[in-house]
Amino acid sequence: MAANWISPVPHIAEIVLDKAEKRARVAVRPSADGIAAYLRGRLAEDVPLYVQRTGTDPVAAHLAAVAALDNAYSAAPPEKARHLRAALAACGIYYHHLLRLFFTRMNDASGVSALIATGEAIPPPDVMTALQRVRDEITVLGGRGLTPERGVPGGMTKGLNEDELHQARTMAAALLEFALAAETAFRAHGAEWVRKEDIDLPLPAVAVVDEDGKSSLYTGEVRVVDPRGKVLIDGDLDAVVKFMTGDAPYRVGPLARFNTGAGMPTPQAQKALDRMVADLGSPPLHRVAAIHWLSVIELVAAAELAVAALDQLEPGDSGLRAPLSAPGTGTAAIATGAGVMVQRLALAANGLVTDSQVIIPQLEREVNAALQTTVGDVDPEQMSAETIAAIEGVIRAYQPAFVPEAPFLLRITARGENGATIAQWRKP
Amino acid sequence: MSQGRIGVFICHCGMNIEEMVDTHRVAETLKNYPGVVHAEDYDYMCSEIGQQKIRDAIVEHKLDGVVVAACTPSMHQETFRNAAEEVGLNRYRLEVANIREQVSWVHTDREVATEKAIRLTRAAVEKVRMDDDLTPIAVEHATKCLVVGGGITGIQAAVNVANNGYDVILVEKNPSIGGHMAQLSVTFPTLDCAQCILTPRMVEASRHPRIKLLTYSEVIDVSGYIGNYTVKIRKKPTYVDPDKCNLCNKCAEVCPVSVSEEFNEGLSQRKAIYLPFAQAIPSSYVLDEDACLGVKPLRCGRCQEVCDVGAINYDMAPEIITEKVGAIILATGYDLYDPSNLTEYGGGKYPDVVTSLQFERMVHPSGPMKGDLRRPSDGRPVNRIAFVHCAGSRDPERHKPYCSRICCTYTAKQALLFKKSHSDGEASVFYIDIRTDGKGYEEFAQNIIASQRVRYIRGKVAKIVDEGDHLTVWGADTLSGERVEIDVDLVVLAMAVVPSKGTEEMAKTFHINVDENGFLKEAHPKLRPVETTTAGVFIAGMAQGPKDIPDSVAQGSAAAAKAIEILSQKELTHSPEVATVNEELCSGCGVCTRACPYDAIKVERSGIAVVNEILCSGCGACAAACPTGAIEVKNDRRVQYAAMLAAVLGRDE
Amino acid sequence: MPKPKSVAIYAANGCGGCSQSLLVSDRLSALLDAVHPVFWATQPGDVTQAEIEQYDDREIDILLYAGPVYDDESIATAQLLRRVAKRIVAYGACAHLGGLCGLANLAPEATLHLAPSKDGRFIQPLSAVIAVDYILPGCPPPPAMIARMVDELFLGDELPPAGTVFAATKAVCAECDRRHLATPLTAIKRFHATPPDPEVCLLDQGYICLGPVTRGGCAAVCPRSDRPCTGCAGPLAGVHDQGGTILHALASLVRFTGPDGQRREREVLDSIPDIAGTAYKYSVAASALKRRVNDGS
Repeated sequence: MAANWISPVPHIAEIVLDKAEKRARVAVRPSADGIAAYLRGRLAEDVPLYVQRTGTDPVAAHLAAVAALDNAYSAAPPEKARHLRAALAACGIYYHHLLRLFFTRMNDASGVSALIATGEAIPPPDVMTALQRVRDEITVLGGRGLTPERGVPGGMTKGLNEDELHQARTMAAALLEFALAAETAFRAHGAEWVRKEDIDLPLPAVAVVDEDGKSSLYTGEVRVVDPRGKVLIDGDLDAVVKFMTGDAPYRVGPLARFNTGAGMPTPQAQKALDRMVADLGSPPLHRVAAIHWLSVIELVAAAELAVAALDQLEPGDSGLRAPLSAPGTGTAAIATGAGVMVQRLALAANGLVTDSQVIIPQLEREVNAALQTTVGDVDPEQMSAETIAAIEGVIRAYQPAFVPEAPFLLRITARGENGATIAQWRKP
Repeated sequence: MSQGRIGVFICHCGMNIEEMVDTHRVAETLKNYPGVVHAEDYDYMCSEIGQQKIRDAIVEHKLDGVVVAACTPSMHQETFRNAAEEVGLNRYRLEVANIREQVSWVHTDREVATEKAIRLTRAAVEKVRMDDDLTPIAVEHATKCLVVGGGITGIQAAVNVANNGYDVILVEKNPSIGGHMAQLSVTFPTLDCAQCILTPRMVEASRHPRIKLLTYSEVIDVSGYIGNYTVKIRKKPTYVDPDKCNLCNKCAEVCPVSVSEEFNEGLSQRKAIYLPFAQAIPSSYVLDEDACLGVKPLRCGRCQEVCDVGAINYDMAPEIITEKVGAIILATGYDLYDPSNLTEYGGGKYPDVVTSLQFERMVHPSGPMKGDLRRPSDGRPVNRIAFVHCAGSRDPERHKPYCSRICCTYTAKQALLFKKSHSDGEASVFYIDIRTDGKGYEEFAQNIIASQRVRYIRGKVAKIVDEGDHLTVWGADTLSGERVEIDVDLVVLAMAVVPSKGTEEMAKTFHINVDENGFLKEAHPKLRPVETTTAGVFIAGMAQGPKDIPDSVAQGSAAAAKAIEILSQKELTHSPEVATVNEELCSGCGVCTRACPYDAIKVERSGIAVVNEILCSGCGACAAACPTGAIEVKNDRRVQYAAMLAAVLGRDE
Repeated sequence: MPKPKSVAIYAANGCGGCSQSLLVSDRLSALLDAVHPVFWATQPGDVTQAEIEQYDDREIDILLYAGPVYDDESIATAQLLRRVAKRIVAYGACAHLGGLCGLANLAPEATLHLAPSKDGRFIQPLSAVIAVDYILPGCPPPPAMIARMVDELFLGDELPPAGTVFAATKAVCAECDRRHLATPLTAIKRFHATPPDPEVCLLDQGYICLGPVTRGGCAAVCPRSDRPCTGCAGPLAGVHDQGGTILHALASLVRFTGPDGQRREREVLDSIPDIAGTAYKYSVAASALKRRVNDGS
């Protein structure tokens, strides 16, 4: 795949069998290898715009870049800006989980409505309404719907007026209502499937925890724990970066957060978590399908966090920006729906980017590990029906829309060293 | 749009064009160009016979467009358009292709030049093809003239305009008119007493029934356009009623404040209440608000107590005077370059190193020394004197790059004045070369040099050292190659002239430009020397560049003539080749409003840019800047340029 | 052509934002009710060239193409799609102008994970390799423009004329409430360092806002967020080079009088940082610049 910095699509792509290596792996689309070359010489203040258009989670990418810029300019955003950003971050997580839980690829063009994993409990139009509502919420908070644009080093360019704040609070309340309904529906229709899926993959976990040690869905310290829950790294960002860019497989995202933090950051989400723990057990938990249950719980948490942040937000445009110091180097890590994002930016005195690093570990990394463990190396020239079924089994565990009753087209492409297609299999 | 009946006329301009361009071939080639129904060449198209050829062809061939390939359109476009108009062709459907300045004068290969002339003429045909009939825009106008600057130039201009029957507002920022000329001892080369020839003009200006004199005043705002300028003038309070003041000097006697006297170039002191100089006009004392201990609130009040005639009024307030004028003449004069920039000469530091203007005051019979030349430092007589040319002039690296023009001649005059009163004195002049360009100046200077009473040393002064009781001047004689070191009692620096303080700000107020040295910029250095790029605003005198009194006076009259040209019109017409806005495309971004040097385009409340056609000069800056392509200049449209470019660059069929 | 009956979405080479913009559109259900969706490819491989070849010529009534073309394979795919589709919409800034990716065309070749196409070009707008019938601008297209496209293209009685751009014909400024200043532009400002006056035209304040050279239809969303327009909707009709035009406008706006006026004007214009990323953010590939041709410096 060329142009790595434009390539990523944040859900599971095709499965690529690399003939040269004779082993199965999933294409890791969100790699941002080319981003450093791309961003060099660009304006620092445009980085949040560029990285959010690399195919990763656009809200999280924007906020991670903004956080890195805060540090590069040694500017601590004022409280009001922090609340606004927190509400935006929560909506970003909500949007991400909603997409992941209810939609998959639409290459069979059977449309959105057929892909609702929760069956009749949540009517498809309600899902669409929720999705449009969270887009509208992001529009109000961040200026644009899919790609918010108001984050600047040291704060936000604009606040909410009285009307907008009222509108945002109303929408957040509705989003919470939908999240709670989704959690109820999931227990009724999805929990049984989670219990049946038996892929159990012990992996270290990387996640962000808040000041109380609970799972954070935005900022905080990055913590790394081993598969038994022992803390390996606690807050040392350099060590975290080293770990994350190393070869060892690890887990990020909802299940990693569950294994790393001391519970949910909000009360109703904590209650929902308690219900899941009663069913599946306490951390460490390595049952892959729990990711989906946890995602629904995080949907509740995100809505609660948005409601709480908006409760504390004052209307008006004043007090949103801290003064900037001379630019330097800044690194920041934030939680995203699918994992953890780390951005490091080095700026010249004139505010142009001299160097950058963007680390976007998401679910794909874990899927690779699962495929290695479960399927192992395969010979692309001799793919058996069993192998394809095994691959499908792994994918199904990670992608909730692939539950058996959903239409599902799995395509396996074998590519050679130069990326050219060697062969393709497609399950009817 | 032309219906394809275009006539083309190629001018030989004697041999000016014919020598390098085969005009006959141009005509023959153009005859076959689409839309052209007539083409001919002739010796002098601008002659009456040439014009008649155009008129005849328009009638005979029913031409609906004409191209004259001749000299630059700035020379004869009007001539040809007038001729065409006489026989009923809309004057804006005649275009000139410049095949002289842009072809024959700049090429050496007749073949290539002919080919280029053909292409340029074809391009003009393409333009004419899409030219529309346009009607000049009529504008009413005011009949008053504003003159800014009450020096000799401004006085000359004001009197000339007034004598032609138009009202003039003469604005001077100082308390008296007269300018620098009033400070001079005598004028070169005739050695007339400067004041004797100036004061009658000052009186004439002040007594003229058509001249309204506003001294101690400055123009603070200008709006409008040619023929219709609205100017706001701020008149500072003098606190003395000039009609009552009897010049008794009692007020100055009791005034406790002394400050440096401007008229004597700081060589003497004056009081806070003072008479600018003996022949000042208005003839009245003035209270200098900045020097006074305080008027509001009153802190002293002694002058009012002693004034027998009750001329002093502390309640006088600044006045804002608004006038509508049709033309403006700027004659704001010059200052001397600050001598403290010349540290190697001790300028502004050594009291016995003086400027040329200070020297004028020192030798002036009514100056601070009553004409008895003495060293400012210790009052001792001056027996040895050195004059230094080009003090700040002709020094592009460190000071001013230009020649100040008057210094060579006035230094000769000053050296002569010195020798007249100090026949045994030694006078040395350091010069780079002698530039005495005016009538009689060379003879004047050469007489002084030839008399050998003054020692002329060709070379630059490197350094001047103040030794207490004398100054040592270090230099080199570039003719003999020897180093020169002379001791003198006084050094006179022939300082560079610079635009008077505030010229740049004033240029902004009047929407005109200054040149790279800060002097007011003329519209064309040769053909439009007193005009500016803003119609109706003229410049004259030293404000435009260094010049002597006769040139300044001549420019004052020239500017007056240009102003009268406007004031005497029944109504003004304005070229209809102005910018237009396509409302379908304009998004109101406002870029054009900034690009416009004439304030002629504004974004209205509707969010659409609107052109004030009277202000618009058709320069096209807005059309070029317009990001949406919404603006075009009439008969200079993009489609025309595209066609012209194709005609210039396209292959021959 | 009668009302379209089928639609296909090929959003294979972009960041996914265009696909999502359609997914979250309020008009999606209306669109899917009105026409039969043939396929919705959101990434390379979702629909292969072999699969596209199986469709008849002009079988698909409307194809929405998102993302740039960037190598021989993507050019070949675009040409195949052209064959099977009656009408093609360049959906979003990448298909329209090359998009943000186009900035990579200016980077030294060695630093890119990108192989040039055979004709030596890198990122290109879709219209550089196939004929495009309609344009839906934006990065990603704003909801109102998507709604207009759905309404005019799928729900109307007649197809809009070829070449229709589903955006305003006037620039962003026409939708911006900011007022103009009368003072000249004397310094370039950056919105992160100096917060703009919320009521005054950003360009007038010295922020490089591409509003004047960019198609409206977005309700001036970025200036309303107190940040300059970045030009994602591309140039207006009749403007050939969006970046060059804003630079030209800037050259007209920056104005100093006085003896050193020209020097000071040059200083201000020289102080514009990252000119390519500022003036040509989405449009390098569609501009006169197109790509870097010399790695000498």
